Amino acid sequence: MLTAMFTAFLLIGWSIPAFASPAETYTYSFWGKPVPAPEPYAVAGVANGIDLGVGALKTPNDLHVAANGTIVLADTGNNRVLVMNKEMKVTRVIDRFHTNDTFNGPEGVFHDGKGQIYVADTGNRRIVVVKEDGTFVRTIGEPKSPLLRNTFQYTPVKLAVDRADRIYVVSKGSYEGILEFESDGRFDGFVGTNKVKFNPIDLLWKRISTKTQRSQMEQFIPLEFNNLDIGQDGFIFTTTSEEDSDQPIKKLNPSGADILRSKGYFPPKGDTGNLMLGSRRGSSIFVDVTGDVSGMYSGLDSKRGRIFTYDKDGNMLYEFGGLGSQQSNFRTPVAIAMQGEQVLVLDRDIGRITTLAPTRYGSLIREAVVNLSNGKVEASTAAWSKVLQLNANYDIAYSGIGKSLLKKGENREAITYFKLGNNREWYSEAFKRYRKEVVQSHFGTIVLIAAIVIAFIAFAVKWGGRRLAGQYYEEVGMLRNPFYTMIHPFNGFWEMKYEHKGRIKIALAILFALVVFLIIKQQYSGFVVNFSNPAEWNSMDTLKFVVLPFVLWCVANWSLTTLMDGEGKFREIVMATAYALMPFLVIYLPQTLYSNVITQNEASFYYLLDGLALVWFIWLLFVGTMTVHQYTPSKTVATMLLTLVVIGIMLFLGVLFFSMLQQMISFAISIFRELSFRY
Amino acid sequence: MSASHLKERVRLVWRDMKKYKHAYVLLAPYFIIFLTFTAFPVLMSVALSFTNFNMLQSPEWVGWSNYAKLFVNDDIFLISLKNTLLFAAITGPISYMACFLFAWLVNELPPKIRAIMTLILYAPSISGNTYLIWQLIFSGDSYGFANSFLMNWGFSLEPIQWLQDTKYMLVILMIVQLWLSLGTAFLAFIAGLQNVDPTLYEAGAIDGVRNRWQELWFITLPAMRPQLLFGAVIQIASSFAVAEISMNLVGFPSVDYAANTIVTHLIDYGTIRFEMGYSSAIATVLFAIMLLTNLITQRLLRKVGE
Repeated sequence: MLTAMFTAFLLIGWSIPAFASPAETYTYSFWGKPVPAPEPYAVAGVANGIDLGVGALKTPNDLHVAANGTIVLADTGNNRVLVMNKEMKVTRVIDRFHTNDTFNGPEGVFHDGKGQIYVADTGNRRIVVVKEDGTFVRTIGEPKSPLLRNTFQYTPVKLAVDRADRIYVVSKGSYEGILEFESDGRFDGFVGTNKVKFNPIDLLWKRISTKTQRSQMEQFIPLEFNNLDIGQDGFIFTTTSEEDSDQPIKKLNPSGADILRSKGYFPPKGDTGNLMLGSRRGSSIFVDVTGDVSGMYSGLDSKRGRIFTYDKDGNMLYEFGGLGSQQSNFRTPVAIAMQGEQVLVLDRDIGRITTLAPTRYGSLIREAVVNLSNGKVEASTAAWSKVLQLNANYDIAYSGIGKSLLKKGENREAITYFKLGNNREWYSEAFKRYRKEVVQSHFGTIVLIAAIVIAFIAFAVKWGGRRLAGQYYEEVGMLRNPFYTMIHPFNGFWEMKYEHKGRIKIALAILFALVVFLIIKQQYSGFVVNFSNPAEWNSMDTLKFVVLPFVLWCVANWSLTTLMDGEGKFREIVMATAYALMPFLVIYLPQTLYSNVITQNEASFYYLLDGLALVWFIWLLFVGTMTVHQYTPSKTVATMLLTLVVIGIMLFLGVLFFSMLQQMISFAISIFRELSFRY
Repeated sequence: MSASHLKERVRLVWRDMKKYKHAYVLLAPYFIIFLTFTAFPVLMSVALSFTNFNMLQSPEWVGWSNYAKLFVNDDIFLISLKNTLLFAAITGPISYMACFLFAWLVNELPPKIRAIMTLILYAPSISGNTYLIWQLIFSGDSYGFANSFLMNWGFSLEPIQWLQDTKYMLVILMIVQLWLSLGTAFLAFIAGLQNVDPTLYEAGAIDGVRNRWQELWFITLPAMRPQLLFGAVIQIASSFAVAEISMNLVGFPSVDYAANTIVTHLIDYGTIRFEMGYSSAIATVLFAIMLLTNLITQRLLRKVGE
């Protein structure tokens, strides 16, 4: 209990920084811990409506930057659209067009880079297309199609236009997906519907309920998209405001399938890990996404006001921003856009645009990613090395250097870097190539050694067989007894009980050896199968996980079998249980050695060995329990299952006892305080 | 051992051989056929594995290089080796035990029903193209039985590409192999169980056999040891020689070579590329592995009933 409290404290210490000041940017390590990182982006300037000289902005909702750097902004509350040039000077305010027609709460805006601005005129349920100088082009009204259900309400909020001038519109409350319009304004259908999530149990209830009941149940409908952007490669990025989703950001190909890669430590979903601490709980909720060079993309999280940038494989590159009242923070960020290297963030409630420019660290990362994706290995390695000088905890940089080394064929060095970068997949690849090199250069030696070993084993077996030939009964010594028991459990346990072949000393030695072997396994097993965090290694834990269950099992089994007229003494139970642990002892060391020469797809053998050891152990434990207590097989199975139940009860009582003790102690302390304050 | 001693030995052996010449004559037909059609090809294949032979030119001696290439340069062979070993390690023992278990259960039935049940259980392994059923079940579209069940009951949202996804391939092959595996070994076990002398059970009951398990372990299994050995050989051979089902179900070559086995590799090099030396090396490796497993299994089976 005390340790639990302590770990809880630790966790709180490790949790996501609740109020990130600008200096508190982080990346996630392989183990899901936020690791402090240098700041990738810094504020380059802020501008509100007064600064822009157009009067205060009223709940602006969207901002878009065209390829040529022109910025368009939807000033929803003032029913107008602002057009700005690269330097953030307002070149035009569009609030009237086409003989006094006006917008009504436009929430989305998009500049197609060919001089046309598309406005999602939300209140009027239409899309308005105007030129940069404010001349009216056309409007696209509500879609009419048999595809639409009768209750469909068209409220366009966000839109994007691709190179072929097809218009993609996100409509509020439209769970069918994104509406796609042809360039001439014809409604074409929906693309990229989100998948419905439900669990089998709900479905079963729905299946067996009547129609009236069914109509009163909550409906399973797909979630609606809340924003979209066209990436540089012409694919559509979308965001969905869903709690605890692994795909809040999607990248849709022309047929509407999600093709976003998720090869990082975690899916690209913003904050991860222990999210139930701090003032704002739960997963990140993305409200906007923006494409970037070389397949990178950034998502804007409205819950904590952070911006997460990922590369094309889904590795989190960096994170910045946050909620707060400082200039560099936001109150309610709603839109994000890239202007070259710079990031523009629009804040709805303050009505302010924040420009963030990459710091040295940020631009080095970007340089490395861009170079790597363009195949400029040397340049990217150089950039990664500089990144590592600024942040030695940056795993992606190690992996990046590893990839370039692998390209050059320096496999051994690549192995080291992938290990530092915690990238098991690539480590496995590099290791495979290195292993091939080694085997190729020493093939003769390896074959010779193998032949010698095989000959030696054959000779030993022959010689051992000859020595034992013709003996019907073999005398087994104390030390050999555990090994004998492994192979002949019935005889072995019988001799242990009735011929005093077992020794408590040996049993305890087995237990101790198992702890040692487990520690060795944890420390030295190959990187491909070793998922233990070196920062959290603690031999005491291993001791806890071996000795405590062992003691609990023995005590529980003894207390149970005394009631169920088992013949075993406590001593015998301890011995039988310890002797049953032998398979682990025999298998673990070779397994650990073996795990150091395997690649990822050979790891299945490693796990097979684990399974084998476990099955063997259970078999021995079963036979041991049966022999020690002289039970029938069925009664043995029942006893073993009941023992597990008893262990559960014992643990419960132990926890209860400790928490009571804590209560009592704190009570005594408070009484003492009370008295000491009084007198 | 001196030379004179050796001479003496040879003389004695020769004398004995002359004495039993009729036995040799009677043995000859089988032995000649065995030598020409079994032993010689195997030895020939081992010899060819040290050469480079393409069926057109005469073989050229290359020494160990085929083996070096096999274990070092041939990634696909390593994948196949891994798959085959996994396959054998999992399906071999399970199918062997399943054979015995079903034989044991079937053996308890009255004769008429027993015959029918035997046929039913044996049917999968003699029916020619059983793959059709499994292809239906694990079809990658939403009409495949497995997919439609999972989607109907909400376990999955979209059809799973069972036979194209490297995650599932091997597992599915193992399931199919297990289903097919109630074959010759199963029949042999039934025959063996029929042959156990009932008087042994009575004797056992008098001598203090306490339950069915002891009866099984101390009487039934030792009495049918020859059948057990035979079954083991058959089952090991069949689990190592998996190729047909892999080729039929997941295609040849399979996606990412994830379901390639040693035998499919052998077929690739032997019947498609005609690299006879290299494929002989593959065959020799497979032969050695099978031989070793057989020896180990026989040693284990000798312990039955002890």
